[in-house]
Amino acid sequence: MAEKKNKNAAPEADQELKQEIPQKPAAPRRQFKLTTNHILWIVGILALLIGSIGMYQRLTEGLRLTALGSYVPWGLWVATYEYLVWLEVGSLLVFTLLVYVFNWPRDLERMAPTLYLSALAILAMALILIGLDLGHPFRFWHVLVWPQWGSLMTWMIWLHQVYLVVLVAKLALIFLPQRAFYKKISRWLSFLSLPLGIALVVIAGSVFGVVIGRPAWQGSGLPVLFLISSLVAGTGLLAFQYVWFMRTPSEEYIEVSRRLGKLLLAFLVISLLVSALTTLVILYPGVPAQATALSLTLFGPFWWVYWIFHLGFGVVLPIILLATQTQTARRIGVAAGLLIATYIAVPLNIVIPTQLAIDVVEKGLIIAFQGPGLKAYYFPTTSEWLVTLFALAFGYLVFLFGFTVLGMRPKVENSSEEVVK
Amino acid sequence: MALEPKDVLVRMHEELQRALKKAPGERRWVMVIDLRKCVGCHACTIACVAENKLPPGVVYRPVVEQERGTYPNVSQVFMPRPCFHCDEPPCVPVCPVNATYANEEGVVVMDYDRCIGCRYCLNACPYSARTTDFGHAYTDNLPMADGLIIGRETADDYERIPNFEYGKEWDRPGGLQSPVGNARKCHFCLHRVHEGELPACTTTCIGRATYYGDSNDPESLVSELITQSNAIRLREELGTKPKVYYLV
Repeated sequence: MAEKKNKNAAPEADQELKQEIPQKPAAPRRQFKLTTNHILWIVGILALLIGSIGMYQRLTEGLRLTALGSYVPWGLWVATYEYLVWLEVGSLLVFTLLVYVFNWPRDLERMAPTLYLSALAILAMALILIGLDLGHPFRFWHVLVWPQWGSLMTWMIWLHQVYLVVLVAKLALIFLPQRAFYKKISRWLSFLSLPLGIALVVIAGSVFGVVIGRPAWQGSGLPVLFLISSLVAGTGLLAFQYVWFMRTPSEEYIEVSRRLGKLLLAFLVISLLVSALTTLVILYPGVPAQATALSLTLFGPFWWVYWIFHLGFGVVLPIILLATQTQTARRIGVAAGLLIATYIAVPLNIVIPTQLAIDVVEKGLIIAFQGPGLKAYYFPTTSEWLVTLFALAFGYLVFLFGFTVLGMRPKVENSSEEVVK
Repeated sequence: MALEPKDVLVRMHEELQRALKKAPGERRWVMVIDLRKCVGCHACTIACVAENKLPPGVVYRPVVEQERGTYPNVSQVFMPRPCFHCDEPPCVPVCPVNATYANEEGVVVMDYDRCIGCRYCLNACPYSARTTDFGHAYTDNLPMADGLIIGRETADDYERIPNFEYGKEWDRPGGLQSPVGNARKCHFCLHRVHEGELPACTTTCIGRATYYGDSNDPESLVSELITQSNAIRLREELGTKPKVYYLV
């Protein structure tokens, strides 16, 4: 019993002790709050991790796990590369022209850090994809050491490197103190990027245009179409970013948004006319070597890429949204977003059906000798999609890092505050 | 009709020896294929695959088959299609790293160690005469099954034997090293020719439908054949000037 008492006594003593020592108020537990910023990072990292599976396959198995072949040597990666070049160059081209040549309101100029950042991120995506499309990706430096200047691909690769240097220089200047000298250099770099950008896009189109082995590509049509498409995609990206990142209730914001919407509409209509003319000129005589590729685009197994993605979501819907009288910034943003998400159908339809046309033009060859890669069919494999996802996620994370960590956001005039937090 | 004094293979062999005594720049290798003699046996295709240890998906000399007419008036046409080694090859100027070029004998060759694998030359060739080596193997899907059946380890011994294209040993141990990842093409069996042997497709042709020789030698068989009125070249309108002629 005595022991029992003692046992009972002990808690009482503890109670007394606790009463004597003044209790510190418990520190409020920091509760983790999932913010939009966190979600954006998680999505990017998840996509990168999933895409890494494809990267592992690509680096260990080579191109074996792709659907590429000897009759369809270029596929999803080349088409996506072309589209990314359009976006990257087009957005800067339109921005530079509007700000430095046509003197649009200064509100637009404040987009510079974000726009150059996005161009760099897109360039990273593009270079990853085109690098991995090579049979020997780690020999990319051969083009720099043993260039053949007669090849337009050499020019394209070199111009892209020079463009990368200009882009990085422009971005570096953003971080430097805003002195008159640096501003002058930045301005000159912008002017330099104009001919460089035009040359890059036109040469990227000419890479296809000079190929006599593919009659549907050959000619001056594609270089022109590439330039127009680049202006469409670039204006779309610029308009989307402006509407999204610069949103303020100011009149200038609404005015610039509307102007960008009108510009996008104009470029879209021009590109539609050029595409229609090109299509009709090829389809009217109906020479199979050329017409087959177009027929495949319009009525082939992947007709939906053209009719639904490109024409439906990428052209008609944005035109309807942009052409209505009651234009709001949000509507312009939606139109631009739709366009940049679906306009990739254009390079896909330029690159792939033309190569598939070999099935009709040289049918005897397809059945002459059979084996992996000797077929006239192409649809990207899971591995190709995963590598594409990796490249896109990588660029996305570069953008997110610059935007959230390095603070490369549109700046408010004479202040370091961002427009959108 | 007078009998041929000797087999055309013997004659071409002698002419080859004569041509090899000349400086490389003074000879111009040409191939002539008599479509009237070709029976579509594909022996040339197989000989080429064996000679160059071609993996699945790589072919230098397919025989294109075409059916013409409607029953009962039908015929079948066979057209062996090697690389045409054009005098103005569209595949050469597009290469960004000079990995493909016409050598001093006029044969369009590949530098596997320089090629980056962009496959631009594949698209540029109007005759689709190039293929890419994606690294496939005939034994890709075989089980290992050591001790039970002749599994992959044993069966792929043949695929690991090096080929000797361009006079160099090209091992194929199963990795991603060249020629895996490269564009590949017919090279007129230069490694054989330089040793005094005719290309594998020429010696294997059962109907003696393929001829090979130096067109700079006016006495050669090929010089005789390409001046005939029935000698044609494919897609002359492109101005590529192929060095492969067809007798029709």
